[in-house]
Amino acid sequence: MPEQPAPEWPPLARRQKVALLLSGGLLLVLLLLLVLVVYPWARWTEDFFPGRPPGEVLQPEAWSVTDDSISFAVLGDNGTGGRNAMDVARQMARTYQQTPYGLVVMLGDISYYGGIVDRYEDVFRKPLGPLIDAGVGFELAVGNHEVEENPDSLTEVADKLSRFGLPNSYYKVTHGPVEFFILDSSLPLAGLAAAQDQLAWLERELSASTATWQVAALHHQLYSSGEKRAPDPRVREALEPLFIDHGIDIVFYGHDHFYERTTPQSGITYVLSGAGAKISRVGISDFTAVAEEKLQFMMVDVEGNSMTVQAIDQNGVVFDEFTVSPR
Amino acid sequence: MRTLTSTARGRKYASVTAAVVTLAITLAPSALIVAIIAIGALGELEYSRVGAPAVLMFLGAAAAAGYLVHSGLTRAWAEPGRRPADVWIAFTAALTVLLVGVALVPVLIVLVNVDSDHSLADRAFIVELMWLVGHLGVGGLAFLVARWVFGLPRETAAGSTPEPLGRET
Repeated sequence: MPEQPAPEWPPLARRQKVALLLSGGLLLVLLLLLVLVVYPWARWTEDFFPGRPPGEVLQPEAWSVTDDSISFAVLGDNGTGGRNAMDVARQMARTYQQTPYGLVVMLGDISYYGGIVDRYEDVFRKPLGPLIDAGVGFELAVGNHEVEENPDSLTEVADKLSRFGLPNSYYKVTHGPVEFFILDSSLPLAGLAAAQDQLAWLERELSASTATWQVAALHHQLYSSGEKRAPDPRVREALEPLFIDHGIDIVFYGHDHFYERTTPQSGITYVLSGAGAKISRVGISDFTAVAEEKLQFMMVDVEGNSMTVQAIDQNGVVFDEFTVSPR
Repeated sequence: MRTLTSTARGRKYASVTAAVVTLAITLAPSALIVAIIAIGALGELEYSRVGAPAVLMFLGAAAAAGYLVHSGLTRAWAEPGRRPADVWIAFTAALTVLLVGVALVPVLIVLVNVDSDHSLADRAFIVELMWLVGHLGVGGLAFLVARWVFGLPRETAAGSTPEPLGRET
């Protein structure tokens, strides 16, 4: 049978051309949206991607603490359980292998996307397992930023204190030559009566302190050049006069998800170390000494009258280092 | 010239393949989100609380989308006066709308509902409702786009020559 000739088709209709063009354009827009917006948001702003827990095996209790020397790490806002949190925790374990330390000061937000009761394994045990197994101790500055609006946050704070066996949401603890004043920075924001109790307690304890070093650790920032939100002035108004009057040497806090060190403000260096898992945008202010949008934690080495502080990223690169003398 | 859709068997294979592609595209983004949720990256969203109904919805919607594509293509090829390209262009346009929609709906749901202090499980109902409404909307839009691109069904009298779509321009 002879093959029939192919029909003569007219050109494509206008709507068909429009459909093809729009389809290509839509796919391009989708691709750009996913690559330029969704991926960075999920990967860096929120740390949604799963990560492999660090597998380092550390020599237990390899550190030494004396009356005038100690090394400790500072970690803020690491509670995602995601890839970034794992990467930072892995580098903390590797740093321990080089310079053992027996203490980690945590600056709050240790459990995102759920309460600590449910997420303890994901956000604490898995990433920090090597350090936990090595016997490293943890101090925790609570400070849930939703206390004002969300009564559940008070329950969450109580759960965290219970989980970590902490006496109160604010307390003083001494390690070697350093007295740590672990503060609950939610209280000045929440307008609770306990806020005044904390301030009275802090003034009393600072006045009585005879340690060489006084270090304050809290969640909310006193100084920040974050582009997302300004620091709440109530925290600085409540705490800074006490820090200045009573000789606090250095203050660590998180809340914003980047690294920023101030130039000394009335003799005090303020360090924002909140990029333990997430990263947000930071600008430059007149008080800024160094500001970096990097995943990071801090290593602090105290030796006599010298405190050396390093900011270390997830690859082990020390991108800021400075020394502090007691005031 | 013989093409893939010249024969009934070819058209069947093509429509089944298109249905499977549609099913995969409908299923993939949500399945990815559920997988991420299931491993705890978005909080302690228990698989049993949201995952099972969600997966059933995903499978149901994807199967429905695949069936609609299969039957739609079969009907389209049966229409007289249609060239294969008419069908494929309409399918491509609808598939693009579907792909963009089902990729963005889960992203939008997470974007709107994620809360640093709470698990998505606390908002399970809202998440499922948004997912359902979003996907129904995207599916409906894809169908309308296909219909628009393909044009209205053509009735041809016996013996008359159907008017090709291209003459509309």
